[in-house]
Amino acid sequence: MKILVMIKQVPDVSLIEIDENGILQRNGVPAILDPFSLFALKMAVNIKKKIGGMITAITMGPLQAKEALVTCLEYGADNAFLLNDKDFAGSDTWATAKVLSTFVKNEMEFDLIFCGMQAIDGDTAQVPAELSVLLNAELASYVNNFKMDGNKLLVSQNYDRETRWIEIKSPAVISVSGGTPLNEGLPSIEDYINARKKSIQTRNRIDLGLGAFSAGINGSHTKVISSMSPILSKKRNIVDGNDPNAAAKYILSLAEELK
Amino acid sequence: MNNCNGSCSNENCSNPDRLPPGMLTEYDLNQETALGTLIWAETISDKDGIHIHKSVPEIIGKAKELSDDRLFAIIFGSVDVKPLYNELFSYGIDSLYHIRNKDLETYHPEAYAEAITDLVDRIKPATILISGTPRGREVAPLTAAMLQTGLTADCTALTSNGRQLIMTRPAFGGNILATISCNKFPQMATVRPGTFKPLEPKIERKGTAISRPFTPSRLKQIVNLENENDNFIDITDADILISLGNGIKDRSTIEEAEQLAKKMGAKVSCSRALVEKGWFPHSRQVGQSGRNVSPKLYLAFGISGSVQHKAGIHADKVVAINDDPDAPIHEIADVSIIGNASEIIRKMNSQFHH
Amino acid sequence: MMLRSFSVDPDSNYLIDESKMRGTAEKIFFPRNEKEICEIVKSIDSENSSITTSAMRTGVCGGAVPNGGALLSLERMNHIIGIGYDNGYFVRVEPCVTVKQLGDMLLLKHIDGLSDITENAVKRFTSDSKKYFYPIDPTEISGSLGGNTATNASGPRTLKYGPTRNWVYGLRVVLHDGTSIDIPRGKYFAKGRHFNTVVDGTHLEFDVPSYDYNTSVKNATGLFSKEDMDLIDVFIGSEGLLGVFSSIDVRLTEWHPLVSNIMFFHNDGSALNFISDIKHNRKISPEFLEYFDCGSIKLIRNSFSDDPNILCPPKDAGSAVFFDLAEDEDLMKTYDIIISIAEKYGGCAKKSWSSSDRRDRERMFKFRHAVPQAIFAYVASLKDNMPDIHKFGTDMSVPEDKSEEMLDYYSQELKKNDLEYVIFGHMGNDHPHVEIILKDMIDFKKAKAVCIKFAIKAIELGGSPSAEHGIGKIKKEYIKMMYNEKGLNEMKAVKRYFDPKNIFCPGNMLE
Repeated sequence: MKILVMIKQVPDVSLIEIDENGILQRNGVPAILDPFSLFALKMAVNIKKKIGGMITAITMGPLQAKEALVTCLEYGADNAFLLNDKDFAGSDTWATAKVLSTFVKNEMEFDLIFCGMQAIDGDTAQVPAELSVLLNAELASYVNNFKMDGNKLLVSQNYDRETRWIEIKSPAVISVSGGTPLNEGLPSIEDYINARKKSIQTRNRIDLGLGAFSAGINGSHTKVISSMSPILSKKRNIVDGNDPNAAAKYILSLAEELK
Repeated sequence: MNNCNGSCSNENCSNPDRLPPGMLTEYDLNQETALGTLIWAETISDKDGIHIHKSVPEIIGKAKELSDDRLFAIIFGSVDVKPLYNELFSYGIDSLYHIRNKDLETYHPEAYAEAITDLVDRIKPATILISGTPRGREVAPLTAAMLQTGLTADCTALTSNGRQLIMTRPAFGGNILATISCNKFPQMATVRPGTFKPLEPKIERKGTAISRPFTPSRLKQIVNLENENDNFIDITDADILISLGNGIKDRSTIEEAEQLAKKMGAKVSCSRALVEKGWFPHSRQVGQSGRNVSPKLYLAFGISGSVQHKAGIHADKVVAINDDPDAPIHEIADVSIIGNASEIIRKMNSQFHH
Repeated sequence: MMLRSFSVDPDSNYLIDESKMRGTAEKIFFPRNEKEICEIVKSIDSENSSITTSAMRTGVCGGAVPNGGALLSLERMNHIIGIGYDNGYFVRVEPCVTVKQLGDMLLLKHIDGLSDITENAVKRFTSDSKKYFYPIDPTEISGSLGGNTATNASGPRTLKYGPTRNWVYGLRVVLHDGTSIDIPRGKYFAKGRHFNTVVDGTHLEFDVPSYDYNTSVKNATGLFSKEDMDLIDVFIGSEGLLGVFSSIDVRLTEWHPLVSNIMFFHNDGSALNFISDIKHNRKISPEFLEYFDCGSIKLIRNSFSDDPNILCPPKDAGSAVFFDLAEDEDLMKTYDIIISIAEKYGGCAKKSWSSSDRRDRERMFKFRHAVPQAIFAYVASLKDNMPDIHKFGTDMSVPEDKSEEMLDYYSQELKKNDLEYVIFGHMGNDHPHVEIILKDMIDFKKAKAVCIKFAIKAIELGGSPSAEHGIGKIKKEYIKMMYNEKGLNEMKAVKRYFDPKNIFCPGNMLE
């Protein structure tokens, strides 16, 4: 089974703050492997354990994204590719899917592609679907579990109100929303050492044969016109809550007023 | 490669930008005929029958506000869906396309996307709006890729500039709001449920219903469907939300909060931090990557108020209970109570007499 | 009125600390700055009442648990004030800034609202390409720096960096009469054991105890004392007895990337041999060496099986060793050495966890903290039926060559008394914690007795019965054991000098 995992390195958004001028403080915020990408990788590793195969981790990103690929190698990917070019910067989800699918069409064979459902910086949750269309593969979204039924691969999809089990066949893109518990355990020292022996290759725009207007800002259909931090000012009433009994009474009276 | 616009389906072509076989031709920005808004009228079925998803009237109302051009809708299902026509017309739909195909009475994402794409070729709308439900956020990017157009996910604000749609959505964990435009027709957006308020339905409004057959190229192999996950509590329809954040250090406070909620007729929600801690399922999370809520009263206990959390709150009144007077949650609070959140919940629980 | 105080419910969380000992208080104050602390202290002094200081209440000896009187909660004073530079960076903090809060600020270099304590220090810090950190890392990272200073707290990294004392560079203290003094390190010294100096206009003249304070092992028993000592060291580790800290300056050191590792072994002996060999190998120097016996691994597995935030130990894991290594060009060679040592004792590179990723490293630290956390939670659950119970654990250090003898003595005595226990902790410092799993008040009585025997043995072997947790209200008998009546009286004299009416933290350490 040939498995690809599309991953993303993102800033740890839980540590991002906005300064008093409303400017996003991105400096110094450490970058991490997106938690959804890790769910995707772990599911790929679990499937590989059951039916065998090879896992390749792929990311489109800056040079620093190599660190995230090393983490993937520690967690069980066999090799990795970094798609890196200044012309890829500013890509919307369509341009990103274009770059990833072009690379896959050029150099990779695959049965399954795993992606994190969304990335915690963009939260768009669009790339897996767009990738599936560009690669003419089936899409399985919101996957949080799988099982083998003989030779069939079944995945469980969580649509909030409803859960579906579907059978998927190669080629397919699986968008992973969760799955393995966080406390499962970590890669070992052996994994750490081996990861540094595995290969990470890079490709740029020319390597992929992409025109300058096929990627990055120029290849995107959506453009950010402006951005701002949503600082709202409100006339507010400050109540001293040191006496919890009085505070509790006050809140309950607010609730009563609604009736 | 430079002369080709990539729109033919020649399998032997070496242009990596070529369209896969069966794809539509690209739309041109100057195309005069792109007009009107298409909405997917998502339906849900429960023990009471089939209904329009409650977020659909929200986006219909917004679409009417943005433009006077024709409002289209697409709906899937059997004859059981016919009673819903008038409801859609009453909210403002002008032309309703009912896709008639037995297989498609069940939800099949790629097939639905193909059907929408096929309809778009026929009616050539300027804009497609889809509600950001789990299904909507699956069908929309599939459709966008088939149409090779831009899609902006989870918009929290929409304005128009003629036929051009200006979309606003949170990014960077909700720490900034980005305003986005699309450079092609149709422009696509998914809208966070609960963002807009529906207009008053006018039962005398009339519209046209058109039955449209469609055969998709592929269907899913569904093995099993289970409705209504047990953990799932819908926090989006609560009048009062007791919302817990990272300032709640003791897990036993959750039980106190649930008891209190029961007594008050409220529901318990939370911030992202408590979902990551495993204390609550994701369906209880308020915020940019959780749920939009619009209760009458939002009680934020021990929530610091990251921008991504605040982005999900559209309450009439917000009360922030936090021992940190500098916590960002106070920026959106109508009342700020500086005190110990867990203690206050306990007191409220013991004080409640009704 | 600035001095508003509030009533405290008898079942409030303000009346307990992590030892789960419950106290009583008539009222609670929440000062926002030093001025308010001074006013509160003055009013308490004039009322002849008392106050107990508390911040994050993570102490394990009841030091923050009030014994009547008022509670002074410093929770509003949680701001990082500024950065200074004097042959290295230091940070000035209010007492309720936590270890985690400081760590996060330094990691992100978020200097919003920070002042220059020395000229242009903030700018120098932000433009400095290197990263810095505060190396004292008690595993309870939500503990406050005020509390850490009052107890001279330690963490795993104390193996390499020493205790809090080595890193406190300055202190502001509010004294019993409501005056405040500023004490930088290196300015005011005793002559022999006698202080006679003017600090900020306040004349101080008193004697420090004459005993030899043991610094060859980790030690947090009693007031620190030594010939020609620095005045600041009188206050560090004084457990709230002499005044209230209103600000603390702590030094930083350069950060370098680290890899955290946990290796699993089949039994206790293998892990202990592994640790011993690592310590004696000159070619490698881990940041710390933390030990988990088989009992503590089992405890984690059973207590947190459904907690997604605590890593689940592998099914066949017996004991474990947790250590950090510098991620530098020697790392691979270091791993070779470590793996060959591990293989001698039945371990291997596969049976381990390893990561340089920040979040995974945090998970390993949480795993280490899960052992005491499980004990505290367990004891808390017994409290309903046994209100007088609190946890019984040792915090004793001995010199390195006596380590094995002490471990044997622990297991011998505990088995004799039919008590269940786990052993874990700072084996690198020959300072593991023995936690007794109490089942009832009979166990409690036995545990109390056997811990006294342990204390006597530790002192006999040249160690300390309270190596890092302090004395508080639970371990007062250790003072006399270690320093005799004479030493205790000398400490009481210091206390009487600084607090003649005994308004500060009554019940801590000395009575």
